[in-house]
Amino acid sequence: MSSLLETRDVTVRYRQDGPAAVAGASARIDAGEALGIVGESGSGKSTFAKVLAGVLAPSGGEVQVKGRRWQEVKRRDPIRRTVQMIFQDPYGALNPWMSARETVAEVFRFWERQSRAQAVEQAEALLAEMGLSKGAMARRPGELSGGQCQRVGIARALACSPDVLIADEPTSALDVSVQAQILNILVGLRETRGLAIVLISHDLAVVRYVSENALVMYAGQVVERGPTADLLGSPWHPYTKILMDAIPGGTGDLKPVRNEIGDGHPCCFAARCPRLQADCQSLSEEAGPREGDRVAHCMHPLPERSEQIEQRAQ
Amino acid sequence: MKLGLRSRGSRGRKRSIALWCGVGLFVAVVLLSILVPIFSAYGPNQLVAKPFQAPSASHLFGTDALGRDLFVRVWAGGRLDLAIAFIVVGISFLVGTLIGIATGASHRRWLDSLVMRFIDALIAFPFLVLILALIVVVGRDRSAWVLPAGAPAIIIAILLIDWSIYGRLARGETLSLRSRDFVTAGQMIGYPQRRIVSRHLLPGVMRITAAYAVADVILVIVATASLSFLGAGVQAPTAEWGSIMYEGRTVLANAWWVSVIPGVVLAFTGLAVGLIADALLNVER
Amino acid sequence: MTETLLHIDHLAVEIAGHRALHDVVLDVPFGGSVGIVGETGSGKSLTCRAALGLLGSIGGSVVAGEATFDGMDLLTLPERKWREIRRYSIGFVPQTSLVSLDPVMRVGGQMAEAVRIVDGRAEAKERCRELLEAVEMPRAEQVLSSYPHELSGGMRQRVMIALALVGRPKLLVADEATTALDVTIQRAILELLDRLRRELDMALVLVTHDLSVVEASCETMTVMYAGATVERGPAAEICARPIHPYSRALIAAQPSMAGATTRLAALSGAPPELGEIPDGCSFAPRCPFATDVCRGGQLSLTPVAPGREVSCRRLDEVLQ
Repeated sequence: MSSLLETRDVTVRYRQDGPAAVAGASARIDAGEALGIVGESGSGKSTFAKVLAGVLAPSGGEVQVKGRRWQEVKRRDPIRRTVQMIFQDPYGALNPWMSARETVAEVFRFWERQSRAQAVEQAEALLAEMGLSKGAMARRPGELSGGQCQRVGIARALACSPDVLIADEPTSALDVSVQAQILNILVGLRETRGLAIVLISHDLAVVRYVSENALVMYAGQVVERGPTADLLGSPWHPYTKILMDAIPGGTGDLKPVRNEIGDGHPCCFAARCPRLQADCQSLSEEAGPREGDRVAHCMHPLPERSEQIEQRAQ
Repeated sequence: MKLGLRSRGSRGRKRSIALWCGVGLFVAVVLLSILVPIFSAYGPNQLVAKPFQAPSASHLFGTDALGRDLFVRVWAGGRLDLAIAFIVVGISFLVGTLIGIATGASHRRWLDSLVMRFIDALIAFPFLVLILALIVVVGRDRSAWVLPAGAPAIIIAILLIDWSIYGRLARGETLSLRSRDFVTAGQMIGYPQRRIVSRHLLPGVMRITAAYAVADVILVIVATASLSFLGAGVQAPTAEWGSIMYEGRTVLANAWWVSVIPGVVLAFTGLAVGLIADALLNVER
Repeated sequence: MTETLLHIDHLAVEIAGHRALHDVVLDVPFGGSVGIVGETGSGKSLTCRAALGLLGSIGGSVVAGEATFDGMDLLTLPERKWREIRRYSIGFVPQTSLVSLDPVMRVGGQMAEAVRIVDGRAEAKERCRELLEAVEMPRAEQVLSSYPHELSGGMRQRVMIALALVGRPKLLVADEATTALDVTIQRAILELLDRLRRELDMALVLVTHDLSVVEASCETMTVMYAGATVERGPAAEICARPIHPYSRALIAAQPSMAGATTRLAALSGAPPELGEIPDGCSFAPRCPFATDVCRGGQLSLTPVAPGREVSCRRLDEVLQ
């Protein structure tokens, strides 16, 4: 089976001679899969999401949607409908001068060439499915709560009948109880519509709840990937472990440090890694433990792994 | 932090009082300008009484050096000033908004910088020199359609500068709006650029330029009056606020009403427009 | 009574005629750490403002209840006294602290401005450096001569904390101090606050919407809903065994790292708007336990266990 969305060695530079926001990241999303992308601010996860969504052309590497290169897809190509996105700022994501109903109906009118009445009817059905009250449908974003706006955003995306939904920090601007409502909608969509979901979040628990696979990004690179349960159950890469320990209530065992290293160290995490050693200089593309789908890009993964690596080396 | 609803309400009420005062005043000025010249017993250029009569019941604003009724002349002048202002503001608003949004939304960077450099050059050039030069080129005696001699020159001269302000405003707002997520969402859905510009960017951009247009009405009136006052505008004997004030300047000590009354009317029009523009801008926030 | 530094009881606040807070209860012991938890609009920030005497600027006023700080009655305090309290006794790290520094003034200048009032001109420079060291700022000297935009979010937050410490306060109030930060930096800031609390013998009030933050760093906590305290007690106990239906809902709504297989228990509906707070229990319209007894009348916190109080009329059913 071919993948829905696939990227290979994507690099993004906002300025030609500037630093890379994404430096050689690869990912693959199959139909119905949920993939979490974890990282802190500046890790390049939102930029990577934009590349996946086809709104940002990478400076290097390949992005394919259903086997076609994103760069070759024209604006009005129906394949665009395959990938839709929901955003972090629920208010900024909606046209402030259009009501919730108009926002969703516009999609039906545009793609399905429906009459106004038909489109409005469909939009209302979809908004109701997202849990928006009849009264709220006539309101503009400024008169809606953050949670309601996010529901409208999801409905607009669904109106395209997509195969993949990219959610960029969809709940980080929302309260916990509203976050739970939105996350439940996302999980429900996978079950009822077989939608694949790419969830970008800094919150490990949110990623754990929604997605069975995850990647951890640092400084534009994927440092570890694998099934979420394994990844968070026993992290291999020191950075993943640091992220987990930093969660309130976490052990706080492993902490980032400040290493004085020169430019051009092959490991992107070297400057802050508490496990940095001299031979990290020889970190190659393929270095690090792997096991099935699970990969960590590290010369000195966490202790639980060291024996296995030695075995493999022999 | 949410604030009390009532406090927002009372502030809103004050704002709407200001708005309605402004609208009332402005409508009064417009109606008088239209109706007085039509229903008055005399024409604006008719000699009806002795020169320099002080305001009285028969001549509300008094008479000027030639014995013309100033009440009729002031409102006839108002009609011309308002007509020029509406024409200039209307065309500037349309042209400026369209050019601004087109350059702001365009993916062609060279087009954007070309238009912006042109606008920069226009604004950097000394305003008065440019306008006076244009008036010479167009000709002070040219009249057109219902516009009296000198008016077409003024309109073209001010238009040439004025649209660029709308262009700048519209471009800036377009740039800020197009980086918002709802535009990205529109691109992902597959809306063509034309649709994104007309349905998703235009309403927001127009709110900004329309708010400026209201304030611009008085700027154009003042510019028209100033040009006439300098002698570069509407030609005698056509009534116009600036030219009436000009005629009265030498007799200010004896016949103050000739200069002061059109000045006061102009100031009230400015106040009305200011109140409206202020209230509209506050609603935005 | 003597070991309570800040004591707020049945506090009610009105903003422009609308009841914004009613029945807020908060006790902060000397050197203790208290978390205030609630969602947007629950009145957490307003409670902080009330404790700092900053209601006037948003048109609010206290209409009922009592509030004492270190034995002083806060509600009858003249403005001059308030200024003194804010200068020397209560340090405040505001919600918007990441943008609260003056962008066109060097950090050192901004800090010196505050330090001079407390410690005098001569020692200002020395004290600034000392404060930055207290908040574990790397390269303190360099930071003093930087502009705010040259600092990262975590560093700016440290500067704000240092500024709050200028008057050697007995109480530090941090309003959503870590919300906009990355987890690793959040962790570092929380550990810093905890260390400062112990070393400077200062009480800490942590306002946040993130229950896990309170659970990890506070001794006691207060859960707020629609302008009232609905439950309070030891933080660990409430997080492990919440009693009030709202506290339960908040905790159930949080995704866990253990990875629940079932759906999150999302609370439906939305909290009431300011000025539309219903009579009786304000949570009743969303509460699964609510019956007619919950609507109307005055509710108050009832002790259920040592140190634990819950504001609920149907405790018997809820406790089963």
